[in-house]
Amino acid sequence: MKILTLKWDCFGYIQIINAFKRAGFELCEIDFPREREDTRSSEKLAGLVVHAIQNNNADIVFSFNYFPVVAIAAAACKVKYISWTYDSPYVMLYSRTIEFPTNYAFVFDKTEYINLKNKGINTVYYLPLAADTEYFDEFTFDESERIKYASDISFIGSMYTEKKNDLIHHFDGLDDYTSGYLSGIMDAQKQIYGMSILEKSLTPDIVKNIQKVCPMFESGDGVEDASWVLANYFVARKLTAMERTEMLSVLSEKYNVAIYTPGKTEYLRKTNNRGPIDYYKEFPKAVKASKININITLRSIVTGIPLRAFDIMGCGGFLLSNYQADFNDYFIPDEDYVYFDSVDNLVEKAGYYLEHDAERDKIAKSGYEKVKNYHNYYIRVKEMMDILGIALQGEH
Amino acid sequence: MRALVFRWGAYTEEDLIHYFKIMNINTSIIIYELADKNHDDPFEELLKKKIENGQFDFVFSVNYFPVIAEVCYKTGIRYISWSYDAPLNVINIEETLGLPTNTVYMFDRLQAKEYQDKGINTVFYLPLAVPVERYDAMSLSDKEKAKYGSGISFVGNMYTDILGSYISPLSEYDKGYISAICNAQSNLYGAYIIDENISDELIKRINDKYREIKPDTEIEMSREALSYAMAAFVTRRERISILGVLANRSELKYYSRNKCEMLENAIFCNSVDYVSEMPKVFKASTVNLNITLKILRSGIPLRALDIMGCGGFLLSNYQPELAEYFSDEVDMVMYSSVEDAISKAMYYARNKEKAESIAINGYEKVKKYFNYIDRINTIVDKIK
Repeated sequence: MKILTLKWDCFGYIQIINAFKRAGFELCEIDFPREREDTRSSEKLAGLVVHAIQNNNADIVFSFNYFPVVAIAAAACKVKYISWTYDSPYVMLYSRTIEFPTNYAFVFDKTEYINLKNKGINTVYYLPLAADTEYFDEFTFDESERIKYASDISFIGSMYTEKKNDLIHHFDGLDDYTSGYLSGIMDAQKQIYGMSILEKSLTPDIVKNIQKVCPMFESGDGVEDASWVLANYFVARKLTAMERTEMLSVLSEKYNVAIYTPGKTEYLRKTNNRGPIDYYKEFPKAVKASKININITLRSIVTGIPLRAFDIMGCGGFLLSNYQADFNDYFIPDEDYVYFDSVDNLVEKAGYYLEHDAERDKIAKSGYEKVKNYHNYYIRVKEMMDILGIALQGEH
Repeated sequence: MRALVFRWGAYTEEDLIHYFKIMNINTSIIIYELADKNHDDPFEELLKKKIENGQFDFVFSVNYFPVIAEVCYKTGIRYISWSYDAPLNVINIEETLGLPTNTVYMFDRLQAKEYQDKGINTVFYLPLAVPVERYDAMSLSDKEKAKYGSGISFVGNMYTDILGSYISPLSEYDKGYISAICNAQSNLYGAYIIDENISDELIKRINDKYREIKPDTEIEMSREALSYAMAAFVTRRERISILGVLANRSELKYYSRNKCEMLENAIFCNSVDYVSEMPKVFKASTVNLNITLKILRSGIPLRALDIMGCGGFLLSNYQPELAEYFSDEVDMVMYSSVEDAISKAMYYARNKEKAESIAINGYEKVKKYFNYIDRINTIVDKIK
């Protein structure tokens, strides 16, 4: 069986290739220039994929993230298209092309999966992300590096306050009522983990008021509506910015907190901003050198386990994360990782685990073992192929 | 045992007194219309005299009255109260709640916990009960079945919209904010988030505005009052949505003090007598709706228990303690959105046998686990 993989600068590309190889699949690849072309409707891209499928005699096409043009190409060639979407939000899942029977669209947020299923879409499946512990295991430190990356508590990620992420500044000129309204739904959502009330609470009137100052164009081929876009791209990010700021600020009042983030963070006066780090070369070192690694999930990910969490555990780091319901499917709290469900709870647990080294190490180790054995790319490939009804050809 | 029972007109007084008597608790009654739960000199005199002239083991009331708590404390007699309201609507309740002669039972576990967490150790959790024997003995004539029967029935308060007037002087921003909190709450079942989102600053802004309009105003908005108004607003909207849509698709009777103009196709029946008529509604209807006031965080409302205790089929909003004691789709059915409520109500209204078999299970559970004998035993055991 031959798989055509679409290469772009996504996470996990090398890992999935290795997993496919190990599973006995023949492989071929093409570069997929998704930054330059419209992945919804570019004839050029679709043609590229069609030719690659035909020239290589591929049986299956694979990409990280779902692309409508690829779905069109695969459907035209009558081959299966496996996509594994790790971004959130990901509006292209709402493209009408999702329903092509040749699609096998895997999503990592169970809530997203249920939402799509409830819309009658039967080509989506839930598949959590994974980590390549072998890759992370390779990382060793010398003493200077250990000192460079050492920290009691670390946070690695975007603050979503950077200009490119602060989409809500597009709302300048918004009327007072709607401003208060947005403030209200964010405050309400802050208290709730495991469910999102954002989209449902963005009523048609509110959406209309927002569109007066920030017109949004709905894509021609999609079924997502303005309230979905607003909730997931705008409000969720703004809320995440608020939460990450508040939580890191409060934590840094009591403890030593290092953050690795692209933007400036003058508003976080007591944190040690060490600037952005390279995911492949530095991230594992930063995780391993930190006693506690914080995950504060982007709010558009309603219940899913973010890639960051798998990365941290896969590096053997101790994970202290906000409550995300999908963890309950695979991990045991206080055994493999620890979760918090409020700012106070976060501070309390951070303090506790900074004082209890042995417990912390035990939890980190347990989380690592679980990820290594049950959440690696090879197992995910097996799970995907189970759904496709394809037996693995290689080692079992 | 001898009890002095304070009667003020609570629904459950008659049943309680009946069961006290069955369990050999001698009951004397004191009836009084209290204008103020905290203070009433003539009543305090009257109660004090009655206590001193009798030899009671305890004074009892449905719901909690600080004025009774104080008299009991002064006279050194135990005061037992068992609430079926949440919130309790008692001003400055914490001033007397912890008095050592008190034993205060609350039917909402989270409500009880809130006080217990403050160190008030006179508060205990005790779910409500149903007079199953009395309901069993009630039979309906054909005429009554026609009168009280319906595909779908709802007994309850439609609430008037006071929130609008409370917040009318506020800024547009604050109005938008409050609207958002209400909408967020509408979409949530099993959690009450309104309280945490009413900040002190917001309350202050409201009161500042009131004073701006009328400098010598005596009106003072509190978090409790605003929270209640918001909860009532959200619940009213949920009741209107569900009843309104259902009434367009099925026969629907609602029993309430005031007719709701928005429910055009629903059959408005005046409010029913709790003791003699309400059970007949539940017995004669295929689907009985319970749509809990949002501010009741976890407890099972009396309405829901009464429905099941009458052998009626219960369709209720998701309520944490309901889910704890009863099995969804086995003993009763719960919904977790307006759409869910509508589709389930229609389904069971059309599938009478299924509704009846579920109702029987609910009835058996209520009979076994929510009866007055057990509750009174719990109360009496604590005295000993």
